[in-house]
Amino acid sequence: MSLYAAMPLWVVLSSMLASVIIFALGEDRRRMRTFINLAAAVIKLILVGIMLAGVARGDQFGVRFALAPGLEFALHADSLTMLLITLSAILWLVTTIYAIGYLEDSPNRARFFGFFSLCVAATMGVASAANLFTFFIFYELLTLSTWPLVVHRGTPKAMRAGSKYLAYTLSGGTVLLIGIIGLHVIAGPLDFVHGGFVTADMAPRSVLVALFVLMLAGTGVKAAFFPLHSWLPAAMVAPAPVSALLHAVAVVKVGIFGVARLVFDVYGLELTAALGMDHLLAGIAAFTILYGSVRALGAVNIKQRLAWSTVSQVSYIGLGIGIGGPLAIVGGLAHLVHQGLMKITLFFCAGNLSEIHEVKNVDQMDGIGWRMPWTMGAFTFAALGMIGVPPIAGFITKWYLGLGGATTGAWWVIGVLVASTLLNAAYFLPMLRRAWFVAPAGGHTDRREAPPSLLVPALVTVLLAVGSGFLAGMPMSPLQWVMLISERFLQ
Amino acid sequence: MLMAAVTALLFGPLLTGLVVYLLPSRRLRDIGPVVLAIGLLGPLWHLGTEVVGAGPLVLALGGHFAPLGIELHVDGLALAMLWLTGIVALAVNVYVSASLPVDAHFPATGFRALWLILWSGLNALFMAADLFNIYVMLELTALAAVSLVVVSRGPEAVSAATRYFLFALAGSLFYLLGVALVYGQTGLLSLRVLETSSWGGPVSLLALGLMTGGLAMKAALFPVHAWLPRAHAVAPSAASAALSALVAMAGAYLIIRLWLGPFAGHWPQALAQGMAALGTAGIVYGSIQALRQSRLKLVIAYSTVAQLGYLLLIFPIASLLAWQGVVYHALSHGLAKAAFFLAAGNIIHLLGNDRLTSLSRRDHRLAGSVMVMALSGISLSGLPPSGGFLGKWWLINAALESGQWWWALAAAAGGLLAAAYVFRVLRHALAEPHPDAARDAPIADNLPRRMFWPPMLLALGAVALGFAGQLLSPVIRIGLPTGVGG
Amino acid sequence: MMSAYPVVAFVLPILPVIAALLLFIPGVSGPTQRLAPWLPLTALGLLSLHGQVVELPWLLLGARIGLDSTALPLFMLAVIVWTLAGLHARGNLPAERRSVFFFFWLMTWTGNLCVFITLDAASFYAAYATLTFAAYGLIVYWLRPADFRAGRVYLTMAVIGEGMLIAGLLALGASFGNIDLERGSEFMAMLPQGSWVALLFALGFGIKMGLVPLHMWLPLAHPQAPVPASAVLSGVIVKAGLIGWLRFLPLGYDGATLTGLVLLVGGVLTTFYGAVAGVAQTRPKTVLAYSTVSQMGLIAILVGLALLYPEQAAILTAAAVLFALHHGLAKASLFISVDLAHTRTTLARALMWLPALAVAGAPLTSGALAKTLMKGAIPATESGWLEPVLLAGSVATTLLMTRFLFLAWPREHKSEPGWVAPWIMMVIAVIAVSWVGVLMADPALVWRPFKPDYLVSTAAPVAIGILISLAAAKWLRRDHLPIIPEGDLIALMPAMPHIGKMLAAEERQLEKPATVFLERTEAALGDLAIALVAWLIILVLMFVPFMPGLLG
Repeated sequence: MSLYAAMPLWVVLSSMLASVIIFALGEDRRRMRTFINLAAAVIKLILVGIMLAGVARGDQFGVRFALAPGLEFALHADSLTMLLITLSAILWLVTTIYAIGYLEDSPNRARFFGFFSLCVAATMGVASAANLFTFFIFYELLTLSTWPLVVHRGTPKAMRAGSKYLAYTLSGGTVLLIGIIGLHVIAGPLDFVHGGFVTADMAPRSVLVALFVLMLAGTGVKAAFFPLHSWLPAAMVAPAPVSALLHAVAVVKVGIFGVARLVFDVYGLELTAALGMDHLLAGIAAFTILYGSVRALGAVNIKQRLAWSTVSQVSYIGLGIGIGGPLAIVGGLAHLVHQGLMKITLFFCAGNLSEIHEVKNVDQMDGIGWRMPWTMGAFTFAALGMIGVPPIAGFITKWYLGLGGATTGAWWVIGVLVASTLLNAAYFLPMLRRAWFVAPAGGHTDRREAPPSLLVPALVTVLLAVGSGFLAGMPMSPLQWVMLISERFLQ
Repeated sequence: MLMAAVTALLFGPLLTGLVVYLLPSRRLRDIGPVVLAIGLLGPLWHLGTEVVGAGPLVLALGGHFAPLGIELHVDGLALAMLWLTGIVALAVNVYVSASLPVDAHFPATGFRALWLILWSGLNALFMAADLFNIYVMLELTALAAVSLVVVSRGPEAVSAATRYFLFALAGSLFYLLGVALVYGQTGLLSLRVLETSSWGGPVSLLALGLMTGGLAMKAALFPVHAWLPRAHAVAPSAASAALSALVAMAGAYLIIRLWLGPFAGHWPQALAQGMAALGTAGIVYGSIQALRQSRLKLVIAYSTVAQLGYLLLIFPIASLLAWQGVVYHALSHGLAKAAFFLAAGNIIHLLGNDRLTSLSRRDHRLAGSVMVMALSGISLSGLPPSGGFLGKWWLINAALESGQWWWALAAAAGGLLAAAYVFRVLRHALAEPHPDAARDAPIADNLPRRMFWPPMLLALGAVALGFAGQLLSPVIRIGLPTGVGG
Repeated sequence: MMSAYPVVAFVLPILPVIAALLLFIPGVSGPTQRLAPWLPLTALGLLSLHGQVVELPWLLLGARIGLDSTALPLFMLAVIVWTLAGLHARGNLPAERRSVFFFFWLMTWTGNLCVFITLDAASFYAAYATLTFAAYGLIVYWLRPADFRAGRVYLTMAVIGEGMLIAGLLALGASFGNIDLERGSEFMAMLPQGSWVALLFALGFGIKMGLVPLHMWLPLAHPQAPVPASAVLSGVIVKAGLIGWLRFLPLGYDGATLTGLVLLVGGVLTTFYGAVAGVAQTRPKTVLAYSTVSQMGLIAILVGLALLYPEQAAILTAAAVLFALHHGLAKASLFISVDLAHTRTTLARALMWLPALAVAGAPLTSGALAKTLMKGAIPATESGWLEPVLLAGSVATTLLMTRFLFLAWPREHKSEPGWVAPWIMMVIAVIAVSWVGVLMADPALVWRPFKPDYLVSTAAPVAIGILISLAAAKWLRRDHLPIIPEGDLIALMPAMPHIGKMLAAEERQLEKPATVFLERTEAALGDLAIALVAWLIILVLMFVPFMPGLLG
């Protein structure tokens, strides 16, 4: 086991170590903490870069050691891993910078950044887990490390949201655990295999279906599928950088990543389809897409609206996986990245609005565009991207999802996409209208832009979002990488 | 050599209690038990290498084997429990060396003597190999334990200890009745001989029932648990740690020993299902009660009631995996629960009370103890990566493998309930200050390192158990009782 | 060797976007603002791409850029109108929020330009969407409540239109991927579900064209925008719908009868409905907007016919494009004349009737040429009923134009400073375009318009219209007509229900369950010990007599 091959472990450990050091440093060593935070993020980015090049070249990465007889802690790096890992490595750096600026002078920063790093470590672990056992360990670790972030403010509302979050995610985890162990009983080793390691002759159909449903429910909680979604809008009480990370890479992405692993590497596309589970997944996802959008219309609070939008948008990924077929999978997985970039921008901007101008609700947004043009500029592009306006990234997703639906004969997918586009427009465009075209109420016209530490992250992510749409044809763009993945899965 | 090791384990603490009493300086009196605890790791290590190397040991005190002499028996399970005792005792000793001198409530000398007696008793109990010896040791530990509860004085302590005493008394009597029946039927007391001899019938079932009932009262299994929460809550935290992690566990340990050893095959499957149902009821009941408490130590104590319920799940399944799961659960519970109680002790040390709302004080000195509670809470809830998780995994795995999925559900639901009360505690620690939190001023300025690290290391140990499955699972399989199927 | 074409194809369209961003950089803002109106001229560099296709595989889903002959006339129209209208805006809009105006102006221009030069489905859609969303900024530029209403209706309908388009594009893409648009019709014809998809495209682009009954936004939005924006909206941006039809409808192939009929019937309806509703308007710019609706009806008729008569598709679409060219120039200059009627009355009086005549189709104007071509293109089988319809349409248009002139005619004398050169050039373009076009086609035809029969046939409808208006001058002159509200059908819709408010969830708090039971249970279990001990003692007492026997 060479140091190079063990790269996934270093990637996980880099932020875990940072977390431990930050906890140990205590509250007052501010500059040291900032240094550790940024250093760890940069180091991780470099490691991930090396790994990305390696995986693209076809190098094999892997670490494994037994925790108990028959239960191995195993990490690896396949192309799907790299998708999530790269996204989170980039967004972690950006969000760290944002969070340092955002939490200036607020209490309990050591706790915050400690768990923040731990949360990223867990995400990395989920991404690079090579079997269901390891996956589950990091999946639960993520729940544990995000909870303190969600309740960070400590207000009664935050505490309620946190409890809801835990109730949902821990129950989901338990259901997932039963599913995984059940699978262990019928299938033995739990290593992910492209095309799935479960075969139809392992157990009666009903057992296979039941286990699939258990695991889908377990991962679906984090992916915020209807009706397991209601923790997500509540969790928006967290500080903006947390919401940003939660919605963009950490929790919901991990959930949907789990669904992807379940379908691709546990059951395999063929068996999933043979059990009829692809229809179940696609159906749930489609309903969630519409439901989330409709509920977003009713949200008055900006972050809550964004949260409902996440409920809806994340299900695009599920829809893509559920439809199956190369094009839909490309669309779904590309959205994993695209949604992350766009949604993190939106949350950064929402954070800036509330931090600088105390703007929290949609009806307070009047004229805010001209008061903080850069922030709202980023917001605007990200929102348009969410609607699916080309050339921003969201369009690429919809294009491939729609094609995927149509090529597999699921014409209703196009209907869902169009309806969702309309609904997205219906809740995003009024915000943009207020921001840019309505005169500010109460004569607040002072122009005050967010400080660079809050602004630059938003600009970087929005540029990435626009870039990954506009330059989707470039090699190593998210779309091209996803196409690579899809080829490897379907060969 | 082996005999010396065992003797050291049995009598070391007892003698130290005496010696320490005679030591001239308080400082030496504080350090003496710590030195002993470190010293006893040697015999434990020796015992461990012997058992791992040569299989289960049967030793006779004075050279006479059963049925004449007093036998001691060390198999994988006993070894594990002995090690658990050794480690928890070390932590408790280090902890009290710092906590007792500053604690005005407890008379240090009395506490130390009682605790050392209890320690000896526990070591004996885990190695005991015949029914009557077990009875004697049960009495010894019960008396020491009850006294440890009452040592903190005050009307609340007396009332709690009285109740504990009544239950312990009833438990002992039930157990003794059972022993009498067995002896009357077979004329045998040695577990090892009983296991291999052919006997049975309704009397054995009655005896099993009586002994189980008696031991259940000692172990505070639902529904005869009601003494435990109050007693453990009122006792000094260091004592609570030992009581919850070891004494209550010892009762459950003996039940498992009896059911799967001498009585294996005597009971119908329906009874086993009933036992597991009782365990599940305990898990649910204990957890719900824990969720309703407003004082930290009561939460932890009810958690013990709930956690002990898991151990009963082994009976209907009785497979190797279930065995591993249950033993692992017992070990990680021991470490986690001791850590939890010691951390609670730290909170009381700093704030003077253990109201949950007090945790919301903005006080960075609490952070370390909260972290300990979080780590041990993770293990208690069976969340990865921790010993509790591995135990739960094996237990669920065993249940599903045997087709009894309902016990898998029970174990899983128990984990969720545990998470609920653990996070309820942590929730207070992260919330903004509660109006009540500022009512009482902190009573101590700082937390001695000797009080911080023992719980922290115990909690980390509970987590680390999650990584040691490969290492430990062969050990706890040594000398499997006949009742455990492949 | 690397060709310069990809650079041209990428850089020239992106230039206005960069300029739009520069508008907000302090320091370069001023010069950029002065340069902004000229930027559409840079697009002329794209003429070098005529007849070839540049592939940019790294852009979007593999972009293809080029200028084919379908788009060329519309492209030229766009460059001329956008440049001149932009110059007018620079000379006449208040300086205060001019940079905001030019931001949206340039963004919209980028979208509009790219709609003409993109030759793959995804990029086309990207351009089209950019156009749609950026134009919102132009429509609500004045920020009055009426602007927002217009903007909302515009955006709602536009987004619904985008929805139809993306549905159509996806259906098309499912079979053929990101298609080449030069062969769009061919692909559509091969598509199994072609007839439905064609309908989606017809209606989706029809929204942009103001096809009745999807036109409601147009008479609301076009007049609300600042004058130069109205000019490009009515003159050029609606033509984005036309290019969409030309690219995506299966022109020249069988099988789109349904769509053809829809467009034909819709076109006829639109022509008359627009005229009637337009005459009943009181604001000159609204009259012009309705005139646009009406004129787009004619284009819809042509495209509908082209679908129904595939063999004549080429000539019918050519007529449609030519008509669009003529209409674009004339309508743009009419809109700008509204501005001048307030500021430079003499000049306005002198020239504003000219483009009006052209729109009406008076002899020797571009309108006449366009209508003649149109008539010539109509298949013989349909001309029986269509020619009278077209005639009536011309009369109605004339009426609309007189109504406009009555309403907009400068009544008091004013001469404020402002730049008029752009408008004069536009009027010249209106006059010149048909002659230049004919000269380029065949110099011999230049004399044809002077032939008596031609003069009569083109003059007749205009004359009838003028006569009717003179007779009705009493009403046309004032506001006595029965007034149809702007946006007509939209007024029938009640105020939109606020979905948001209906859905706003209230936070509910769960009550704690009664805990009495648990407390009692726990207390009872605690007292169990005493009962147990008592019971044990009795038990032991009962056993004592047997003890010796048991023990043995």
